Amino acid sequence: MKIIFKDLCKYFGRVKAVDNLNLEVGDGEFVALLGPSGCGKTTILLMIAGIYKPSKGFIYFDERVINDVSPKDRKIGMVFQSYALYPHMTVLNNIAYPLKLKKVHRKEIKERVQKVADMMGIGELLDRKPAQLSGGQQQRVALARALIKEPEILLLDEPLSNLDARLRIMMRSELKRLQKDLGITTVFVTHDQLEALTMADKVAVVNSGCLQQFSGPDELYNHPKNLFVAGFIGSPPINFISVSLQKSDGRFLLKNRYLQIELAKKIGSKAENNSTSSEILLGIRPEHITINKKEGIETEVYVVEPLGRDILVSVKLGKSMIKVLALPSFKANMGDRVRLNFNLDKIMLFDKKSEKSLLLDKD
Amino acid sequence: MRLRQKPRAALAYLALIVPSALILVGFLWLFITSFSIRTEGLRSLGWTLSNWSFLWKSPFGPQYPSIWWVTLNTLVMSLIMTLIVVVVSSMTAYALSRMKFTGRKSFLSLTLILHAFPSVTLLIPIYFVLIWVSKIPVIGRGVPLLGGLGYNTIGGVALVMVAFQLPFGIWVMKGFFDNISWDMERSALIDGASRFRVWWEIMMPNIKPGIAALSIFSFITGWNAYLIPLTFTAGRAGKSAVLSLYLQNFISESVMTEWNAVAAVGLFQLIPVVIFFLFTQQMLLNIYGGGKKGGV
Ligand SMILES: Nc1ncnc2c1ncn2[C@@H]1O[C@H](COP(=O)(O)OP(=O)(O)OP(=O)(O)O)[C@@H](O)[C@H]1O
Ligand SMILES: [Mg+2]
Repeated sequence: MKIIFKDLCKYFGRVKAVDNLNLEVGDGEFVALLGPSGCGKTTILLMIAGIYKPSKGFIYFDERVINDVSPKDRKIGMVFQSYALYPHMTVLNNIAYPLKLKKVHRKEIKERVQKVADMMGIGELLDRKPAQLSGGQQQRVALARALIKEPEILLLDEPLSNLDARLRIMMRSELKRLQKDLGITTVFVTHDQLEALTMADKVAVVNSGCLQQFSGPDELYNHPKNLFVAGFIGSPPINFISVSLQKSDGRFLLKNRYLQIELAKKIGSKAENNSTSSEILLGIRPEHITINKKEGIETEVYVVEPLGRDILVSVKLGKSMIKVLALPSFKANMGDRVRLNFNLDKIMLFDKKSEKSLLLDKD
Repeated sequence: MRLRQKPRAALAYLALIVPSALILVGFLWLFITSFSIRTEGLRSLGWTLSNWSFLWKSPFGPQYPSIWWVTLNTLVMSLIMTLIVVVVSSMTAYALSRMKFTGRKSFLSLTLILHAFPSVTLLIPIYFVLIWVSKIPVIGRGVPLLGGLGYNTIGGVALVMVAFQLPFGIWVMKGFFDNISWDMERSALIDGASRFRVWWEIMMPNIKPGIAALSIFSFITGWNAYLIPLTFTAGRAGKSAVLSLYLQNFISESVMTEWNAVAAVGLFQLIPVVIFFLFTQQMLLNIYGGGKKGGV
């Protein structure tokens, strides 16, 4: 089932929890809502579920407006951040509850619960109470309860955030696999970018109620639409350097006191067309900078942090700090003079005022 | 740590033992007196069972209801009151805790005001209401056991008791509902439950300690009630008398108050409450222990 948001708003008094959201989640797609805490992710989910009514705008399931449809008629399964299991019921009754409400025959309930429980690997825990389960097991029970009524839409509100790091990585792939096997349209809320990028087909980045960008993980990482997305996605985070864009003899140059970079003509002219002023921001990810001792922009090593697979070198360029991912073979000490080369295919340019990317095609 | 905890525990015990001892002495006196001809302090001046004779023959003559009839009245009144208070408070409190509707805030403050309101001032208006209700056929005064809902009936007294108890009940239950996570309820709504089922199948089982506490509290209030039964029944000789009124017979009717008999009836009234309390004490404690863990 498709989910379409049209000019969706939700206000709590004066707080704009969701502001003019336009988004389309395709049938069978796995979409992540990514954003910092308090940006309105849960609110969006609860509007899909029908718990909150939109203040403005519409939600469509396929072609049908469902603003006023009650939660129980929406064919939705939801896993809450707190799991929200019913503490007074056994695992069996927890999972069976949606079916019981649908007045499914007792024998069928039993069979279906057993099937889902086995699929989730909690077949042995059916007689326990939720308080007697570990966090990971509770999460599976919650997922089983959401799946048992064979929903057409699955909503997951930070389902992995209460798990320890190892279990989280395991569940990440399991969830992704499960979603693909079942083919249920899924909206997944997280504030962990790695989770969003690795699991989802498409990621919607949200900040203070506004959609920032909605695209595939690759696009999001390599072509962020604005400063917020560029800065939010990626770890270690992207470097921003203040530069001015200059044109001389048909060549485009990015310049400040410490560096000078020549841009390809295509990029340069696009940036020039899109920008409102010559003062712009250059964004470059740490892995798109190479570091050596012979040629490039001159800098000084500030600190070196080994990350295991590679090392993170912070260098000083004037007053600002730039982070560079270097191979483990790179050896440097604090205070060494080193030189940087930017991968010019990967640089991003942003307008300082509008914070928009200057490399997008105008639409 | 041990060293510091020991004197602390001792102090706590001391603080508990001293007032408990005082109260216990009172009960001891009650017990001894009820089995004595006369007493001097805690010393009995001769043992007897005659103070308890009210159990098998009415001490004031046959036109007065027997102790067992009065006890039944008290029981029926307390149980009905408890039932209504618990059901109505928990439904009202659920709505107040979870739903948005106009007038919710004012309703809440109104219940609080009512709770603090000196109910005595309402006795006379309520008297007129009950007299008026009595004039309604059947439900006014024609129901067996209850009598009805009007003046001088068990049902009428219970109804007034309920009214006075509800603000308290609503506030207590609202506190318990407020403590239950919203997610659980939302989850049930998405699972397909109606509001009523959410209340009954999801919320109520999770506030059992609250229900228990309110039930016990209401029952004891009903059992011990004096002012309201006194005002709204024809008095201690009437068919609708409750235990507290029966006790009053001894004090004013006889020329000389027979304190030993008063003690016996007092003890009689006390026994069920004590037994009840012994069994439910754990539940009352539960409220403060916060019996929830995990899963929520
Ligand atoms: N019922 C409510 N009443 C008033 N304000 C609310 C309510 N629910 C959410 N808000 C506000 O709306 C904003 C968005 O909240 P929401 O719960 O959707 O955030 P979130 O993105 O899910 O955050 P988190 O990652 O911390 O769960 C917040 O500012 C929050 O304070
Ligand atoms: Mg949230």
